[in-house]
Parts: sequence; C-alpha cells; structure tokens
Amino acid sequence: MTAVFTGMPSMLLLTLASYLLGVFIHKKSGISVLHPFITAMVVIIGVIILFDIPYKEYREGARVLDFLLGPSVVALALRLYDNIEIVKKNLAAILSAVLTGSAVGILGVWALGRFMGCDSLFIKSLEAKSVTTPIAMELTAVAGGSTSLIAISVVLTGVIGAVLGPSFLKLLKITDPVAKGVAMGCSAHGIGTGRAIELGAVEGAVSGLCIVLMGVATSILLPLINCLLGI
Amino acid sequence: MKNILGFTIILLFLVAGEVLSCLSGHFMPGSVIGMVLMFAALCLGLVKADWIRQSADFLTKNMTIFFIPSAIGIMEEWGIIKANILPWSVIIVVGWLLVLFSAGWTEQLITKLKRK
Repeated sequence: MTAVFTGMPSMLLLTLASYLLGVFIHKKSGISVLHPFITAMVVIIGVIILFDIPYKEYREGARVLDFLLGPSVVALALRLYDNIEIVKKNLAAILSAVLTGSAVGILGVWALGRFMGCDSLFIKSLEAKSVTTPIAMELTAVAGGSTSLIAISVVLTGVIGAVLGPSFLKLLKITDPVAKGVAMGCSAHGIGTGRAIELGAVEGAVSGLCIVLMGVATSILLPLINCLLGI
Repeated sequence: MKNILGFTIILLFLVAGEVLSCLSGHFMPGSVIGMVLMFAALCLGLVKADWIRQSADFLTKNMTIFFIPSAIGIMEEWGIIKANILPWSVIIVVGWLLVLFSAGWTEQLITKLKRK
C-alpha cells in the first residue's frame, strides 16, 4: 500500500498539483515574487518531509519530467526561428550584446566567488546562472557542479530580474526597446521574458530569442573560460 | 498525429545532438547541439515549422515544471547554501545586475554607432 504513495503517479500528481497551486496563488495575489516554481518547491518539500519520503524516491517517481528537459531545449529552436527577422535586422548589436552578457555573467560569478572565498565547486555550480534552467543544468553537470543548486539559483535570478528589471533599466538609462529586451532576456531568461512581454511586443520577442542565444553563447564560452581559469 | 510527428522530429534532433556531443568529448550538451541543428534545419527548410509547432509549444511553455524535480534536490544540498548564504545572495543579485547592464549597454552602444 505505501508503495502506491511513492510510485510514479503519486509523485507526478504531487509535482503537477503543487505547480498548479503555485500558478493559482501567483495569479490571485498578483505578487510577482510568488513565482509558481517557488510555491511548488515549498509545498513539495513540505509534503515529502511530512510523509518521510526520501528525495531519491521522489526523484525516481518524477523522472519523466527530468526527461522532458532535453526535448524542451531542442524545441527552443522554433522560438529563435520565429523571430529570425528581428535578429537579422539587429544582428551585430544583438550578437555582441549576448556574447558580452554571457562572458560578463560567467566571469562575474567567478570574480565575486573568488573575492568572497568560495570554493571551486560552489563557483562551478553558479557560473551558468543567467542561462535558461535546462541548458544551465546540462552545462553545470558537464562542468562538475551541483545541478540542484544551479536550478534554484537560475529561478531566483529570473524572479529578481522580473521584479527589479524594469526599474533598473530606467536607472541605467537603457531605453531602446531592443536593448531592453536584450538586457531582460540575457540577465533573467524565461522569467524575465515574461516581464519583458509586459514592456512591449519588441521587448518580449527580443528577450525570448536572447534566451536561446544566451544558451548557445554560454555553452561555448563556459568550458573555454573554465579551461583558461583552470577550475 | 501532429504532436507525435513533432515529438518524433524533436527526439531525432536530440539523439543526433547527443551523438555529436559524445563524439566531441561532451564539449557542449547534446540538447544544445540538437537545438542548433534544429534551427539550421528550419532555416534550410528541411523541417517545416508547422510540423513541430504543437509539440515545441507544449515543451517550451511548460519548461518550468520539468526542472522542479532537480531543484527539490536542494534539500540534500541545503548545507552548501547555508554555509555560503551571503556569497550566494551577493552572486545572484550582483551577477544579475552585471549581465543586465553589460548586455543592455552593448546593444545600445552598437546601435548608436551604426546610426552615425
């Protein structure tokens, strides 16, 4: 009987239901910090602690969701293809911005981490944090960091970007719609894009395609930079 | 049937990406290589956007759900975060700001230079 409660259907039910609860709370409250992902995490962790379910069993039960990460990265190609005209029109500017953002993101984490005396494992687990979660997790796994640490860090980065992004764009005098989209998409991936869509259609489209470009740029730059830094 | 067709094509590119990733000594994740290949195939007209749209939309729109199980792993690694709570918060906030600023400014700078 207890096996039923830790089997795949129950673990999937727990995950999906917690996420739906998160979406509901997010919509009803209108508080952007209450991202559905955060509610889902709190509820799931609460339930598995309460019923004393080991994490390994939960992970095993929910592994069908893990599997879908790979296909969803491949599917991102369509988003880039749909916005190909915007990329063509601003090719040089967008590509340089993405490459700069990606390099600054990786080196920034490394420099801040070193400055504060963090170990290499910790730094490696955060370097890919500006990239969309599925790509960030793959990159972190290859680099030898912790995939759960990167997953939660990426989501927190996105939430911060969505909440504080628009005010900082004003403060930093980033006013061009394409530049706003680039800044939001590069720094806060999918969650930031959700907010960029509210700023305008161009901002949203550019932000969405920057998620993909940022993923590709970081996939190339991350192993190179790690190799050069010798970590 | 359309979503089965789309999913089959997406899996085909994922497998191709994994193979290339393996052959290149895992320099890049297989899924990222698969995405680049898929983008090339769409541009070359080898794959019609229509074939994959249904499945691709389902996958990209629900991506957040797919990484919940790994994020729950934080329970097991709470120790690392607790020991590094201050650097962790600083890296997330300052790191985010650095990327926002550098990407946004580079784009504006190059657009301005081009207009001149």
